[in-house]
Amino acid sequence: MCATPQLFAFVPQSGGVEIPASDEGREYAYRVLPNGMTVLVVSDPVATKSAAAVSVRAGSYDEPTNLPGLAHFLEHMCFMGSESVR
Amino acid sequence: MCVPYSALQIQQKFDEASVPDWFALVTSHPRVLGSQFPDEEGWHKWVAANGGMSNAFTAAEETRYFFEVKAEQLREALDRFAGFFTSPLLKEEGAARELLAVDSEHAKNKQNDMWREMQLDRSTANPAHVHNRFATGDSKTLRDEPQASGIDVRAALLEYHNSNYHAGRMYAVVVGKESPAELLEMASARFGGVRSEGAEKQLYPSDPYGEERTAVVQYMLPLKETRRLNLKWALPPASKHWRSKPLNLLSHLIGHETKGSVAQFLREKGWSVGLSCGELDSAESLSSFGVIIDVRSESGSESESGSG
Repeated sequence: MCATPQLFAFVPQSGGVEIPASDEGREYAYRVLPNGMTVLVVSDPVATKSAAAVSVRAGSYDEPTNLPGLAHFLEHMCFMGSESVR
Repeated sequence: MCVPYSALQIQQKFDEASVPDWFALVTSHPRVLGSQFPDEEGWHKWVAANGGMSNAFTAAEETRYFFEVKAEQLREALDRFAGFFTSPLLKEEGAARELLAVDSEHAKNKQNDMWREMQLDRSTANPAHVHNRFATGDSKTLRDEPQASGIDVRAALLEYHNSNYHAGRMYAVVVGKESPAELLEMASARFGGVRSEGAEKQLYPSDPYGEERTAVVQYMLPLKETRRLNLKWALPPASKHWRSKPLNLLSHLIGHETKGSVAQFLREKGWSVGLSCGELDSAESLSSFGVIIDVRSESGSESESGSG
């Protein structure tokens, strides 16, 4: 598992999103929301699982020097609860 | 066997399981607590009950949260998941418990030579550079020491969240069986509520060592019976070359094991039984490339002749 050649090959796709060759049969689309958040969706009609990820451009480099681990601690705290109870 | 350990591969393959747990960049945790339930285990339980998984990791300049559930459950999963970002509570009651979780992560990491190597690298970096960090944290750095010096950890958490967690610095990917239009609608409705105010991403110098720590040799006593030679080069960030992937190419050239390869040469000399290489630190501000040579002979004892 040294090289991952399939990741080098891209095929063009409408909507300004390039789809990896390994993702043939899937459709991609993206949008920048009014609040500035970028959302990319991958449509796979035969998928049995669905998935999502949120990436925040911030990490341990961005934490104050006097609180080592603060960014990591916040990661734990974020997954703990939210207000939007259904 | 060549095992590349590039962070980009984590991002590309979206598969933590394929990455050794010693991987130098991330501080991941196995437990994810729930949202939108009074009970903190809610999210975790719900995901598990729907044939899925969820996790998160904190890297140098990125924090990522993710999950997988049955395709039919995407809408409801997004309802719950997006709540973490549109209206996080950061409940004080849960802090002590999460600190224990962080503590046990560090206790686990401390027993792992790769984590120890990573911390040695970080602790001996230029003290003025952000790479010089203890990124996992524990109850000493996040409770006892701040308490002793009168630092309000909760206020610091909120301040970090306020300046860094905003829509302009957040990216979502959603995979599902619905049409692209449906998926976009679904995601937009849920992530549209993420706050847009906050600070710009700050970038950092690409050399975390400086002259003093360039061309130095460090010796580390491992916990396990192992002999390794690690070579590391600090590099400008490779992430902007995501398309051509120069470090993947380099990893292949240096790490392949066919005729005429470095690995084969070392093996024939009886100096090494394995070589792996790849991108080590993969951040927005910097990259590094590493070669790890397992300097044991085929019989299992370490090679002396290779140490010159």
